[in-house]
This record gives sequence, structure tokens and C-alpha cells, in this order.
Amino acid sequence: MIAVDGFSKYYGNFAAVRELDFRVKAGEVLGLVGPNGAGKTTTLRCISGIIPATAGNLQIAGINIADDPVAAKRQLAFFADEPRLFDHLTVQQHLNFSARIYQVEEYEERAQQLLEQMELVDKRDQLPAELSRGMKQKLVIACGLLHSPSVLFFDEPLTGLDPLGIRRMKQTIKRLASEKGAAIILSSHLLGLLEEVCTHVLIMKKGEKVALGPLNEVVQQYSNGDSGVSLEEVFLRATGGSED
Amino acid sequence: MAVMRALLYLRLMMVRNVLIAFLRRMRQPRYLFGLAMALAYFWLVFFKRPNQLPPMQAENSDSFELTAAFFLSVVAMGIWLLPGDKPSLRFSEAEVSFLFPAPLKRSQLIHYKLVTGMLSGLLGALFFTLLSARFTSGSGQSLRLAGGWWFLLNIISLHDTGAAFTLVRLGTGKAVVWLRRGGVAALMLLFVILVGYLIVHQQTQTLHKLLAPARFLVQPFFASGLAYVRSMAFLLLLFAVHYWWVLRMETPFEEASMALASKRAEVLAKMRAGKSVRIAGKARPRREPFVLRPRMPVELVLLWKNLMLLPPYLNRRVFVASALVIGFGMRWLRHEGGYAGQAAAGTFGMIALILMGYMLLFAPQVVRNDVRSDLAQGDLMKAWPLPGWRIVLGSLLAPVLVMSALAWLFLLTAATGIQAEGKLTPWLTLELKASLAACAAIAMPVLSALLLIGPNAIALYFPAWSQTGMSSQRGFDAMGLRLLLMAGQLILLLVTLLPPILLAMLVFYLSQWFASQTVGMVLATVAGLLVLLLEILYAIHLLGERFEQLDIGAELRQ
Repeated sequence: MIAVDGFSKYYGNFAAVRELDFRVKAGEVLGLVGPNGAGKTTTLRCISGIIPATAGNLQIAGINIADDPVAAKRQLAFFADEPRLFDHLTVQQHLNFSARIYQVEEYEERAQQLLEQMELVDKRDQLPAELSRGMKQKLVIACGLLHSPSVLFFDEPLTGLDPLGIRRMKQTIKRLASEKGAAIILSSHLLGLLEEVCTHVLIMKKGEKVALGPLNEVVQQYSNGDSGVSLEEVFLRATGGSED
Repeated sequence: MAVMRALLYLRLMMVRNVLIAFLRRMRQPRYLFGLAMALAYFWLVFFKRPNQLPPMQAENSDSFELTAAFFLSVVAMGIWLLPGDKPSLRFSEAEVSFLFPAPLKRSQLIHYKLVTGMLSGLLGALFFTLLSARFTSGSGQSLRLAGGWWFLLNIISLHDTGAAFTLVRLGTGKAVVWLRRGGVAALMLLFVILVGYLIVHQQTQTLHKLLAPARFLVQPFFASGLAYVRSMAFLLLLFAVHYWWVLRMETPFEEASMALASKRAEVLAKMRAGKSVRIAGKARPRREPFVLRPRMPVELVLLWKNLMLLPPYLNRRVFVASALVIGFGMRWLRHEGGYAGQAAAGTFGMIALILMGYMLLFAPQVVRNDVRSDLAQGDLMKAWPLPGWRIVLGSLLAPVLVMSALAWLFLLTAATGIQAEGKLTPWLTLELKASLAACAAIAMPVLSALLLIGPNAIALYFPAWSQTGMSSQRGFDAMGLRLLLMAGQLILLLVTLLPPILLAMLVFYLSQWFASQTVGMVLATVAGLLVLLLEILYAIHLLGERFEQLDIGAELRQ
């Protein structure tokens, strides 16, 4: 579903990401972790075609994002860390607009389902200024799921959510992977979340891959023979716990 | 096509919702009244022509055309001078979030941005048309001007984008950028010198030829009949060429656009929060205005906090240095500058007095680090174990200090610049000048406090109308309301000043029986200031009570 080969991103002489290779298959959830400035957000943005990569072959559902960005983007949804909405569009109009931009035929029923799932039905005529942060986040997710993407990117998805919202978000991510067979990359500093929902993990530092593989294998790799080692401990051992 | 329909839907819905929100607001009489005020203001400014202007003389028209063409040429060259290494298109954060990961071609994104830019250009064209229509006459002029302005503004905007895209393709290395900037700057200088030379030597024909490309662009403003149609056809062609040029450039703009969107969102959030917007420079820790001590009165603690929030250049050292420069500078002018120096010093003194008047009038609207900015932390401040009047008093001290310091500098300039018993001021004895300056200097902090009470009272009594630290009302109607509030504030000021002025006049009159004019003036000032001070303290007490009762969240939701 997601294939990344030899991916690099440079800003002038500065390498934000260097020579990254990995795969995410259908139904897998890859947790992207690393200290601040490791290149996680840059990686997500490049793979989702928001910004161009400097080098490498990035494929979404078998489509090269550089060669045919439109076709590749039809398969994906990107959720930024902050819910950024149009000030003057209502909840329903955000969904209408998303359906049109992704050319989703007869979306009304699906939009209604998503509004119900996200508990936004009674907010459909409200503007973003009238919504709480958690509701805004839910609206962004509803808009992103409207075209039934097979590849999803989440950048810090739990920021600002209440406990119930966090539980729902985790359930949504798990359900999308297990029931819908979506390939998901999730970037977060909340290692507890990754332990709960991820099948695989990629640890980055200063733009380079430090560890990659199924969660249990990476944990095993850094356990040094200890039992019951947490992902937090693995992260600290793999990265040294700092940006440098 | 479906995608463009989706983008059109986005724009239409946004415009529709903005209009609905505007109409809803009009249900409240205060906003309807505000709209009426704003419309009346615009009518007075833009539409009420004192007299029908006579047709422009041919030679005047030619001069105007050449001047406009000259400035347009400079702008065009500046467009090639300024761009850095990251070209961007103006997207909002929401547009970045929804459109960049969406299945859109880059050309569709550019189309969308260019078309929305053109629609926004309509507002710009309308504004400039209203402005320039005051200086023209004849039927159908407004439409003619509007067309010209719309094309001109859009061509400049497209040229700007096209140049930025092209320059990135030519190279973004530091050496290339500075070489290009040097070259363009040299060309601009040469152009300005050449134009100056041609004007001085009255070589009009050559000047016309030199400015010919830009003259074509401004011709719709000066031509009529067939010449106007021809010039508009030329603009249309130029516009189409520019559009094609921008669209053809395969330059990545996404990253710079995202950075720009994020920066604009940050600036907008700051503006909405009533905070100062400083684009350049990195935030650095500030030098403390004075040392905080554990048992310091809370008013001074609030003064310390608000002084820390001032721009870095407003500090004690700058004030002292300015005072020294003014003092020694004026002395040098008066004693070493001869007759011209004395005249210049006198002029500076008079200008300083005028500027002080303007400063006192407008500074309360600009220096806002008082209750207005503190309302953003209103809930926190209300949780402090303090009566409201002490918080209000403490919040007012910083702007009072800033305004007083500025006024003292102006007074110093006036006192050292205006000559005692000079030709224009024979009545101004040295003693009278000194006592006038001293009285004014003593009065400044009290007067500044009085001037600041009004805007702060409005912020506390009508937070939804006023631009407080938490939010600001925007729109045509809100602008009208602000005009109304400013007028009300002026009336309030006059009413408040009346008792102290009357008392001061009485004291001055009575003191003449037993004291000199100077002593009388000092006594009158002290008496007037005492009344003013009592008024201010009472006002602060009232504002404190209001602060304690205020539910800022509920007020702003109205």
C-alpha cells in the first residue's frame, strides 16, 4: 500500500530526511516516532504529496506520487496535528466541499453516517468558531474519511482530545486498519498510543532510520534481554532520548 | 471541471455565510446604527464632492500620466529586486490543510489562487476607484476607472508571482540572488537618474519613449473614446500573457506557501488578540525596567509587567539619550547655528507642540498595554486577592508612563526651541516659559491618565464593541461603532475637563490679587490637577467595580 524507497528531503544543504526505505501493507499501522526535528512530519508530508521529495520513489497503492499525484492522492487522507477549518463554512458544508473535491458520488448517506459516528449530527449547521477543539478534530476526520481512503496519515492525532475522544480515535484507527484494510502511518510522541494501536514502528533520529520492524521485534531488539520493556524505554535506548 | 466546481462551491458558500452572519448582526440595533454611521462616513469621504471639477488640462494630464508611468516602472523593477529564494502563493491554513493533500493538479491550485486573487482584486479596484473618482469628472468615469484599476492591480499581482517563480528557476544560491539584486538595483538607480536628467533638460520626447511601456498600462485612466478601448484591449492582452506565464512555470511553491499560511495565521491570531505584531527579529529576553521586590505594591508589579511587554526601543536609556540629544542639539542650534539655527530651533519647538497634541489624541488608541490587553487574562487577574480598582490602576500605569515620557520629550523640544521674548513671542518671558513648561510637565501624567480612562472604560463596559485583548469585532458596522465610540470619548473628555479648567481659571484670577502671574499659574495648575486627580480616582474606583463584576466570556458571546 505504501512503498518508500531511497527517500530523502533536503532544504538547501540541510538533510531533513536521508535515505529512508520502508513498506506499510494493508491492515498495518506504522508508528513513526523520534525526537523533535527527527523528520517525522516532513516524511508524512512528502509521502502524502503535500510537498515534493528531493529524491526517492514514493508509492501510494502502487501509484508513484511524483508521476501521478492526483491518482495517488485519491487513495489517501492526511490529518494534520491541528484541525484547520474554513472559518465561514458550516460542518455540513465542510463535508459537502470535501465530497466535491474528492468527487465522491452520492455522498449524503456516507456523510450522515460519519456525522453520527463523530457525534456531530446536531452541529451540522454550526461554524468552526462554535465548535470545541475536539469537535473540530472530529470534523477533520469525517472530511478525510468521506472518500474512503485506503491509506491514512495521522500527525499527532490525539492533540487536544478529551479522554473519550482519545478512546474513540484509537478505536477508529484500529477499525480502519483491521476492518477496512487501510494502511496507516501515525506520527506521535505519545508512545502509549503507539503501543496500543501500531503493528509496526519506525524510529527516526536526525532524519535517519534508527529502527524499523514489527513492534514486538523492535522491542525485542532493544530489550537487552530484559522482559516487559516498554516502547518508551526502547525509544530512549534507540535515540538516546535527545534531539542531538 | 468538477474540481473547479468544488472550489467555486467553497468560495460561494463562504461568501454566503459571511453575508448571513452580517445580516444576523444587523438585527441588533447597535450594529445597524454602526452600519449607518460607517455608510455616512464613507459617503462624506468618497462621494460628497464639494464642486464638479473642471476637465483636466492636456498638459496636466500628460504630467500625471508620466508621473504614474514613472512610479509604475519603479514598482515593476522592485518586483524583480525583492523576491528571495522561496516563491509562494497566498493560501490560508485551511486551504493548505484541505487542498494540498487533495487530488488536485498543481495547475488547478494555481488557477484557484489566481482566480480568487482576481475576485479579491475587485475590492481593491473599488477602493481605488472611489478614491480616484474624486479627482475626475464626466459621465461613466467610475466604470472606466474601475476597469483600469482592476486590470492594473491584477497585472501587478501576476507579474509579482511570475517574477518570483521565474527567479527561482534562474537560481536560488546566495551569490545568484545578491548578484541579481545588485544588477536590478543598479538598473533602478540608472533609470531614476536618467528620468531626472530628462526632466531637468526638458527632453519630453525621450522621456515619453523611456516610459512608454508603463504609459500603456496607465492609459485607461487618461484616455477616452476609442483610445480607451485600445488601451483596455492592450491591458487584456497583457493580463492574458501574464496569466499564461504564471501557469506555465513549473516552480514548487507548496512549502513556502505553507510557511506563509502559518505565518499569516500567527499574525492574524496576534492581531485578533490585540497583541503587537512584530514580523522581524527573534524574541529575546528583555532587560527588566526595574527590580521587583517582594513587598512592592501590586500596582508597581503590574507596571513592571506591562513595561516588559512594551517594544524594546521604549526604555529608560532611549528616553535619557533622546532628552540629551534634544537638549544639546537645541542648545547648539540656538547658540552656534546663527539666525538660521535659531529659526530652525523655533520651528522644531512649534512642530513639537503640534506633535504632542496629536500624540495625546492618538496614543491612547495605540498604546494598549493596559486593561484592554489585560482582559485577555481577565479570569486569571480576577482570581488574584486584590480589589478591582488596584488592578485597573496598576494596568493604567504603563501607558501613562509612556505617554508622559513622550510628552516630556516634546515639551523639552518646545521649551528649548521656542525663544523667550522672541520676535514672534514677545509676551513669552523666560520666567513665564519656564513656569508654563513646568506646569505642563507636571500635568502630563494626570492628563495622560484621563485620556486613557475613556478607552479602558469602553473596553470594560462594552467589551463586545471594543477591540479588547480577547477578540475584535470586524466589519463595516463595527467600524461605524468605533467612530461613534471615539466621538463619545471626545465628549466625555470635554465634560471631565470642564470642572478643573473652571477652577484653575478662578484660582488664577483670584491669585492675581496677592501673587505674581507665575505663582498664579502654578497655583491654578495645582488646583486644576487636584480636581482632575479626584475625578480620575473616582473613575478608577468605578472601573474597578465594573472589572470585578465583568463576565468577559458572556459579554463577548453577545
